[in-house]
Amino acid sequence: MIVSAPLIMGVEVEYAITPLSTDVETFSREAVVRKILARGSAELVALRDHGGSGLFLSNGSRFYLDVGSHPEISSPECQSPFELVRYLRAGDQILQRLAREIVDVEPELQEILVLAGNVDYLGGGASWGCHESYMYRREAEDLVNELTPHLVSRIVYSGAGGFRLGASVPEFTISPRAAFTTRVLSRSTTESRGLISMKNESLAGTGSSRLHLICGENLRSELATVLKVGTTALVLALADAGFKIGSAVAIRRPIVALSAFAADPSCKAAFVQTARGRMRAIDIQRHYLEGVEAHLSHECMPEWAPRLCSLWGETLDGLDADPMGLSTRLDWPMKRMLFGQHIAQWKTSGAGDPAQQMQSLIRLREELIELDTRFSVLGETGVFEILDSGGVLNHRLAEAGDIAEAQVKPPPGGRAQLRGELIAALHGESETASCGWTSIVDWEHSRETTFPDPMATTCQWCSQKASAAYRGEHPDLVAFLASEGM
Amino acid sequence: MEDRNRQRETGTPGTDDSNLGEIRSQADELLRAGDAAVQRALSGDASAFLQANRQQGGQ
Repeated sequence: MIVSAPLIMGVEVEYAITPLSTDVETFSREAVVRKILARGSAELVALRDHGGSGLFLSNGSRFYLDVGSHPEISSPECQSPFELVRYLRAGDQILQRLAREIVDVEPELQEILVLAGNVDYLGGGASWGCHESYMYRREAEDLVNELTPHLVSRIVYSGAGGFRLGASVPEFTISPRAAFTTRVLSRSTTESRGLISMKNESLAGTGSSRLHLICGENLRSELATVLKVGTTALVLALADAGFKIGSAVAIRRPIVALSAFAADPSCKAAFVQTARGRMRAIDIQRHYLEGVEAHLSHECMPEWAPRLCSLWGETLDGLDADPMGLSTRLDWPMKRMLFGQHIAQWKTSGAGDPAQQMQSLIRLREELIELDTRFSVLGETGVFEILDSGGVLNHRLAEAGDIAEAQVKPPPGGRAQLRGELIAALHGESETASCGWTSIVDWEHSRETTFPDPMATTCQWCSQKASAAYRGEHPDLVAFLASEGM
Repeated sequence: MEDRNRQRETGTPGTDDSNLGEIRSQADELLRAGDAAVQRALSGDASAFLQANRQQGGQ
């Protein structure tokens, strides 16, 4: 009998930075991103990572610079989606605070927009990631078949909302990232992206692997975030325990189905061919929900599964009744309502001759894209946060807990706690210590400790065998950090 | 099922008639607040904003 691995999950959030300043040379995006990283290095309780490309923080997360000048915060290993949303919000707040502090000391810098979205629609379009990682033990091929219908259909609640890429007239899409997902599996994470990355990097000891999903979007709604991660973790837990749920609803053409579901904000019009006949995304999701609920008493199910199933079922009921009834709870219906209102106001603003109408339509398109962008801005100028602080949204979950504490303390249990506590202990004590997901090296005292098991609760220092590999991955950034006195 | 009903009582979405009025009320409130939020957030020169916001692709 297969004994399932503990449910361990994490999310990597790539942010976009837009500095607003009249001095565009001094405050270029690249320069501002470097300032943010430097300030984080000076201010946060952290150790630099082994490769020198960033930091590991005392809350167990990693903060570094990813490709395309996108700062990234990777959450610590979490054991429930509720815990994970706490650390994602904590990451948002850390980055936003660093950006605000830079603005406070730079009079020429009007604002640094920290964007939590994943798409720039201009030109040919650009996207950056919000990747998910889940620990599993079975052969990956089984998991791909079990998970694919779930990943294609979950966008009914996990879509960020936005516009279809390349459309001359704004066309709403449930999931703008879907346009950048062109295959089920991919080796690359920067082009021809898949639902699932084939990157073989377990970050765990023998017997465990890491499922790496690259099709998801960064969400502002706590409910949507918990559903995105929690449902996927439960579907994976069943597959990892050997249950065949997803194959019963195997989709003949998954990427075509993803595109069809993304284009159907009614959630009622798009049917795709599955092993059980033609089904809507909601129907496929109900199939998975029923499969999970039928196994709630199985040992592979975590204690939070009943609560998650409750939220999952209510959300599917709500979507089935009227997706716009969830406009205070999920990202995409929220955006669709705001976009719809803006379009309605534009329609009543009058129209002139055909040339003026065309100009007006172009301006509307630009305003809608700006609105989409402004929705995702972290901090008090972001549309989502204005609405949230105004008390009109209904997306929060009490289980998310203390986000302020999560900025500095790691989640309890497992190696995230070990890592975070060691970082806090070594910070200021050892000038040269460095950290990774599975080890910490204290160069000054020639010792290292490893924790390959994500559930590890103890570790021991041993003599460090100097390895150039720790330092060699990012020589440019090592040099930069050194030049900044870090 | 008990859990689901309990959640509906605390304001989570459902399909029964008793919730429809509340959902409509929440949506109306969102529209009113949304209008103010959008007016406050938009720059007034979307074209310039979008150019300033051009991003490189990431992962």
